[in-house]
Amino acid sequence: MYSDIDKNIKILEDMFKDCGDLVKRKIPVSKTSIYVLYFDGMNDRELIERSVIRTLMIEIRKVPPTSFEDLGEALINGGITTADMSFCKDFEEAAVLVMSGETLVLIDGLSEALIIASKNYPVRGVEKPDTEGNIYGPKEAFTENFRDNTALLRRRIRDTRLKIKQLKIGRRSRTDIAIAYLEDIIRPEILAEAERRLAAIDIDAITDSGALAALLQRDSLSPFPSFQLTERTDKAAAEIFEGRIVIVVDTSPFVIILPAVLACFYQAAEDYYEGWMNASFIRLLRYLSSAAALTLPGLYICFALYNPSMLPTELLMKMSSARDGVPISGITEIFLMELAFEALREAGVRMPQAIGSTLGIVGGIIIGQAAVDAGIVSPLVVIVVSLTAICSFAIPQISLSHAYRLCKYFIMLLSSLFGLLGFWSAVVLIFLHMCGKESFGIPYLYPFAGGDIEGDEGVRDTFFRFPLIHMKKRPVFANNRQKIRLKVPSDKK
Amino acid sequence: MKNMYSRNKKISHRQLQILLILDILGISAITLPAANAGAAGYGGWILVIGGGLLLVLGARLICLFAEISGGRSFFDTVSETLGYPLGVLLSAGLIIKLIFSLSADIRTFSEAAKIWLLPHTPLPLIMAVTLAPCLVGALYGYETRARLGELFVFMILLPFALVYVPYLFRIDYSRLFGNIKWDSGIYFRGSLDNCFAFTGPELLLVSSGYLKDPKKTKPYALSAAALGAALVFLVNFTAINLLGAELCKSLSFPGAELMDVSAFSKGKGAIMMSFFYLSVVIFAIGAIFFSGELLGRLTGADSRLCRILAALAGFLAGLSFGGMEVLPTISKSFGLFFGAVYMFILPVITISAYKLRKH
Amino acid sequence: MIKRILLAAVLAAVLTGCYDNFDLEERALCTAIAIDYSEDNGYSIILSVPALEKENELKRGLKTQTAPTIREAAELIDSKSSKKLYYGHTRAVILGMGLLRNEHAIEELTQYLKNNVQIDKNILLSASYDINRIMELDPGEDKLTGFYISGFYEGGKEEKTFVNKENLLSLLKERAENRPAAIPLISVSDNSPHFGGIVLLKGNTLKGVLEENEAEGFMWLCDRDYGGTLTAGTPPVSAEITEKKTSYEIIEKDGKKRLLITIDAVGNMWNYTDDEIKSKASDYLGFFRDKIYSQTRLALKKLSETDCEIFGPEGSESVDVKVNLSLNFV
Repeated sequence: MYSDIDKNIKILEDMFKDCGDLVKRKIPVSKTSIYVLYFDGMNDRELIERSVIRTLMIEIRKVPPTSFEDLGEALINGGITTADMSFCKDFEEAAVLVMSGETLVLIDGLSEALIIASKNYPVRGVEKPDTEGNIYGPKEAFTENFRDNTALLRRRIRDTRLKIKQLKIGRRSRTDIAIAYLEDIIRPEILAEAERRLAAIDIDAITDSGALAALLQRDSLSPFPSFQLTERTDKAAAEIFEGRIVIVVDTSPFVIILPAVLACFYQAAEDYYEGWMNASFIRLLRYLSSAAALTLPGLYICFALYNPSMLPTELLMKMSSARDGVPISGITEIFLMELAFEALREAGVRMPQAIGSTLGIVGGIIIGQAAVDAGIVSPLVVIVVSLTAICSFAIPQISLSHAYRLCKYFIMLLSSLFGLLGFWSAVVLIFLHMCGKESFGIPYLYPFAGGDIEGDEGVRDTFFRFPLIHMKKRPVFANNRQKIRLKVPSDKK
Repeated sequence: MKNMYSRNKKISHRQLQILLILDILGISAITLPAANAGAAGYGGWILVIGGGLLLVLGARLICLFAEISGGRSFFDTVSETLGYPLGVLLSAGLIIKLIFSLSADIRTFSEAAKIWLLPHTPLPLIMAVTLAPCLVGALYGYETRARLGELFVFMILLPFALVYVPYLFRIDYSRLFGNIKWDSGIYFRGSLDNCFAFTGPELLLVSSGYLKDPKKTKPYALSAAALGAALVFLVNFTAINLLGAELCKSLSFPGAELMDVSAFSKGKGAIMMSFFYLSVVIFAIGAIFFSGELLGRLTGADSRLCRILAALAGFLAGLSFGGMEVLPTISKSFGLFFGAVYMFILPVITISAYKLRKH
Repeated sequence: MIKRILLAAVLAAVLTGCYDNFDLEERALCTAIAIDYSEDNGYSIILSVPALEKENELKRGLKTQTAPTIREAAELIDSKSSKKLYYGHTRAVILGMGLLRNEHAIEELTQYLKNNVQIDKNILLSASYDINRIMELDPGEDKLTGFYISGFYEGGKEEKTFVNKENLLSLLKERAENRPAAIPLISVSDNSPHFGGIVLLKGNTLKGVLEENEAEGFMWLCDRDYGGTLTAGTPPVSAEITEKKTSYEIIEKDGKKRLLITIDAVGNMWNYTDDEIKSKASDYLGFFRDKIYSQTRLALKKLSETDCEIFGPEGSESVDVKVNLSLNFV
């Protein structure tokens, strides 16, 4: 920047040409002049006018006009009544800061711009989590405000080793990103890999954490997510304690948790807030439900169309008589019903809530019932499809249930071609894919497969949630020096 | 990226153990009772014990071989100790053996699948559908196979236990030895046939480069060989005693016929048999992977392309067999020759040559 | 390259396939098969193919066909119907005496049953003089014919359970080992099935038929659960046998090996007063014990005559039978 204020103003105003929401004012103060620039609505007006403009006008008057070189120091010492301020020499950088809500102040004769931290966006307050409900435990969700989110994390981890590294991604959006982790627990190679991948991203804009996470995922051909998204603050903090990385993205109420293996998607925050027996039961239920969500329609095809000896005779006769007169083939029927249900689900998500519930009634009850009564579909297919849907909702992470949904169609396709052999081929292929998949170097099926580590306790937090007293070690994500999380008095002796 | 878990393609001992058990179990378990009952009547199950003991001995020798090779490939080990021409010859022979075992397994399973699961589907199509996931698995690599084995071991052994273990309580033990005719010649020959019918140990010859610690495989390999043989024994013992030696002899898949009459799987033999698919897949991935690797090492071609070629060769070889009437006979004579070479003769010669050179 | 091959494989799979896919309504579930043979007409088979009509009304759907082979007959039935016959739920196979008397027919039958993988190896076999009457038995309500017959075997609500069970697996096993097979004979009276004897089959040859008394003796000798009403004495009294166990033992007697068959049975007699028990208890016990003993002897004799020594290797004379019976008077 130049010491000539007018030259600086010209460059800046050229940059912000045609920005109607820009507030700028040049104020002559005794023999010099100051220039204030900020975007309306993105900052605390009160703070700027009271603590910056007013004090600057007064303080500059006190400084003798000969000693402009000391001006900066004089201002820091007594001119600005806010702690959060800095200097900036570069126009580009200054412009980015202004756009992110800071206030820029130029003083004639000073070749630096003052940047006053005055961000104050219109934001949503901290609310209850929408997508991950719970009965017990904290009910705080992240918001779209970057700083609030990092503050929510910091509040739960009062440890100097909690590092929150900030960077900006997006050539145009310049989105704030924070990488939060516990320095001594995390595996350095995972952190280095995450940082390397983040640094390699060169995109014009990041609009949400989901988009960033997708860019971090290496195997784009995989339907399975290798990252978790959560809006629960307690969950994010708990994951940091286990040695994982949490990435906060400005403007997104979801934070990214890395790395993520399959078992992580079955763990809900609430599992750790209630008794281990109940939590284990729920866990087991989730695993079984996901197996059902994945395989039920495929098995229906195998049993009803290829190997009916599996079904009881009476049931088979009822099914067969119910199908009498159904104009479409069994395979078309189940594919149609599954797709109709997906359409219903999709419509339900996008519709306003009031219409959504009506849609549920119309779709589920009226159409389902009417289709059966009219003999267009058989009742068992309706039961299979709805059971599959219910089971798929029992998985706490929606991204995994979406992956299973795609796999379900794959299994259905092969089953309808080759019966049980096709079914098993599809299952083998899906398992093969999962076995070959890794998230930041950790086997995706850890600890079920590939988790052959001595003394590892990962399996205690899978199908069953062991009592907390027996989960003394951190999972595989933590480095080997920081494995112990729970110290029991008897261990210390 | 330095990482303790991945991209080193190395598998742990526990994984090796699981893979070996599943390899040995294979599809041969459901056809063996017929051959054994044919050879020794009601004493057919004793052949499996003999075969199992020989198998453990063979595995012991192969482990010594693996210790010598210490992470090098089969071709390198053999050509360094026995000379280049023998290295090439034996590697080529091993490729043939692996591809033959692969094709025999795929064909046998497909024949069974055609009977129980897909009676109207053409056999080549069934074989292709059976083989395709195995090829994909081989392309994923050896570590993936090991992880798959860890998952499948429960899916295979659970139905296995549920079907076959209850049969043990239905056998009339008082007449167990009553119908057996003793003839040491038959029993020795039968035990050898059984030993060579078990697929899998030969994979140990080539897999030492993929183990985390090839010097310490012995206890794991031996226990796996014993366990795998015990599972095959369970099938043979129950099939021969419950179906009767005479009936057993006349059936193509006595092990699978037996599934139909279990209280647990009554009338669901088809479903139960499909579980065997998983163990076929595990062996087939291994056979494709290693024959591809060996082929790649011999010819210098891209190893992924070699795996595809190996699978294709297995498919074509499987198609060319004459069906279930001749397949067991071919397997027997083939197994006798190649089994003897690779399970006993080769390790012994290599180990002695190695020791001589050391002195 | 690899992707193209995989694509070709996927396309091949998608474009072919579906060879074995039959919609449920295209399958005709056969619950019972009856097969008979006569020199003039060849094989005649009756299949029970029930179907649920609308309003859940059960139609029993008997289909009859004669042809030179069993397979042809089944295929003719198949071709006449719009649906594909499915034997995965067949529960009973009934063999006509005409078939059992002909060696070729038995061979043909066992090959047919053995090679039809849809047919369960647990399927129950029975013989009958008149297969039409058994298949036309109307179980009433919503029962399926095959289930009715297999239910008759398995006890259930039927009054008498003195039935020997023979399934396909044991028949195949016995044939392979050239041991006699004992197939129960069912007769029909008052529109309900009755256990009317046992057909003895060895290899492909019909060796003989155990009549009702002999068949009951056979049942006492069998190492199987047994129960039902036993009538004996003059004037006749009846007891309900609730438990029965048969054990076999080889004993040495006069330097000869003999088979000792011990029958332990427990039964109940109803509506007896204390005085009657005191005076008649031992008589009643005697009646029943004698009856059991004589029945088993009859059975052993017939088995020996027909060269079907199922229970004793050296004929009935070297077999000892011991009956232990205890009765509770209620």
